[in-house]
Amino acid sequence: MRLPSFKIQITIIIVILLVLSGMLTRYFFMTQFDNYSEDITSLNLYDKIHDLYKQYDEVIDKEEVAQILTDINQIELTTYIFRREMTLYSTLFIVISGVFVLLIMLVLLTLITRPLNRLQAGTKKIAEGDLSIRIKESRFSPINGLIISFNNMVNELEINRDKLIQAEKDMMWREMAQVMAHEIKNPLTPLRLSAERMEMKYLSGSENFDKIFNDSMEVINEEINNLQRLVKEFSKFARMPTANYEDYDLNQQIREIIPPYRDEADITLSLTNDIPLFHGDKLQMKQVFVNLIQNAIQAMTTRGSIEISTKFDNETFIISIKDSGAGIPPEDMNRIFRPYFTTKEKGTGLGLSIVKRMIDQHDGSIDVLSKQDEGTTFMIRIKRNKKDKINDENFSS
Amino acid sequence: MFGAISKQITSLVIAASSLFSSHVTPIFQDCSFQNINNVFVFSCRIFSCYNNEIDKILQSGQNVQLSLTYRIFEVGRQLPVHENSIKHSLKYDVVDKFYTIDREEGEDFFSLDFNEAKQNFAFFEDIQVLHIDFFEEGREYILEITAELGSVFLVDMDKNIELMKYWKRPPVHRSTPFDVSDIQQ
Repeated sequence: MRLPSFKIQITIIIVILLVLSGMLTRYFFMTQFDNYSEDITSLNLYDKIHDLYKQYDEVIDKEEVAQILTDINQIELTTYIFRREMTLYSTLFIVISGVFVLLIMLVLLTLITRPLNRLQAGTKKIAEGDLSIRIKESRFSPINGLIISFNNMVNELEINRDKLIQAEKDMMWREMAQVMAHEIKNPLTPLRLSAERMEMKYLSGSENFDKIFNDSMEVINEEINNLQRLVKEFSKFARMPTANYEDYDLNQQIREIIPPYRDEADITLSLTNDIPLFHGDKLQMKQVFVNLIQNAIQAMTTRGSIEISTKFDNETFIISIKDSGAGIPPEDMNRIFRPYFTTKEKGTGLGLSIVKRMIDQHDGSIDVLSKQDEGTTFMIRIKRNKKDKINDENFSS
Repeated sequence: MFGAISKQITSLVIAASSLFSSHVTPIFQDCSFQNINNVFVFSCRIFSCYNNEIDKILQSGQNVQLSLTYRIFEVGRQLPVHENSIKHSLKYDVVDKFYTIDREEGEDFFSLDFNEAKQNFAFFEDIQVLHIDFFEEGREYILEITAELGSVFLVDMDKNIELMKYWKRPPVHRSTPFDVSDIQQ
């Protein structure tokens, strides 16, 4: 059975309490009044005076006795009528008070609960990331101050979020500029040195100029290749291709990826056999696994172990890649998926960032657990219903 | 505590129901008109016109009045062609314990029995309205009768009791249209 709303419950409780207290008060006064009127009736004044008159009718004036008896009757009559009216009016009073309090409570509670409901809806919107929400003020509501404070808070949050986004963008640009400068500067030195060496040997008419020329050209070509690779990596990150979804065996894909890396680490597979076919972009997922495995190998200074596991739980594919490396320092944990963030000497800082973007494209999530000197685990979770979602999207488009 | 509350709930229910039931709806019964010695007369009785409060007031020794107003309407006209009132007064003798009904249309009535006094108080017999010459040939008339209780003023207590509040509405009787030939029969 569904309980009535909080507002109705409070109203009913208060009205019941009011009616009960009214009834008890009424009971007290009516009982006192009944006792009082019974005391008067028990005096039996009418009969006593009447009997007295019958005994002494020769000496007592009838008119005077009639007046006294009429007065006694008047007292009894007015007492009777008063009691009837008290019964009636007290009942009416309790009923009217109950209705009045019911209405007041409903109005008051509506004034309180309606803005509270709006606040609740507002907080949900904020949790979803919508900071444009503002709660309509209710001038007569006792919690209007709370609404104003809430709106001010959201306003501040919105301003701060914009500032934060801008700051993050600035920081990313700075980091990218640093990486670019670093990556371009590295090949520049050997290029300059090779060119100077060739020039010097050429001008001095060196005998082994041909060999030096060949060596220098080798260095120059290698550094140019490095620069080309760098440009390719950056342009790849800039334009992520659209996903091409298909059903395939995730375990099989992992088994096919692993062999080239067995020379560099002890790789253990713990793959659940009865998982359903995975629906995703095969190339993107391959890139994800390759990046994570390479990342794991690079995190281990000596030959270490990598454990890869898959399972299907609660309609979700869960893939974990665990290494026995040095772990990620706590201060870097929040930045590892950020583009151009790297702790490696020759890294571009794009590997994990690409992984994150690809998992996002699959509507999945990637979490990282890391302990210093014990290793790092990357945990990927992707819901199975992706296929239906894609089909729906294609249909609606 | 709970006994008091349950008692209160019971009395509240009784009181709430008495809100609607303590009032009575009086009605006219046995209404008839006839020609007696060329005078148009009517008789009627008011039923269901007493409740406990009215009984108490009648027995208290106060003078209570019951007025009967009768009107003759010509069919098709709004205003009455004749209108008059007649009163009954009831008073209880608190010393000798009997009831006196002063009837404006005839002799006083005395009774030791309260129920008999009440019946006679609400019975109007052979009330003379008009000579039959008043009624014109070829025209139709309607007799309308209404009644009301007078208020009682307790002098020594300076308190007025409106008896009409115990009646939901005053009783009204409207006869079927009649003409002079109906009266002459």
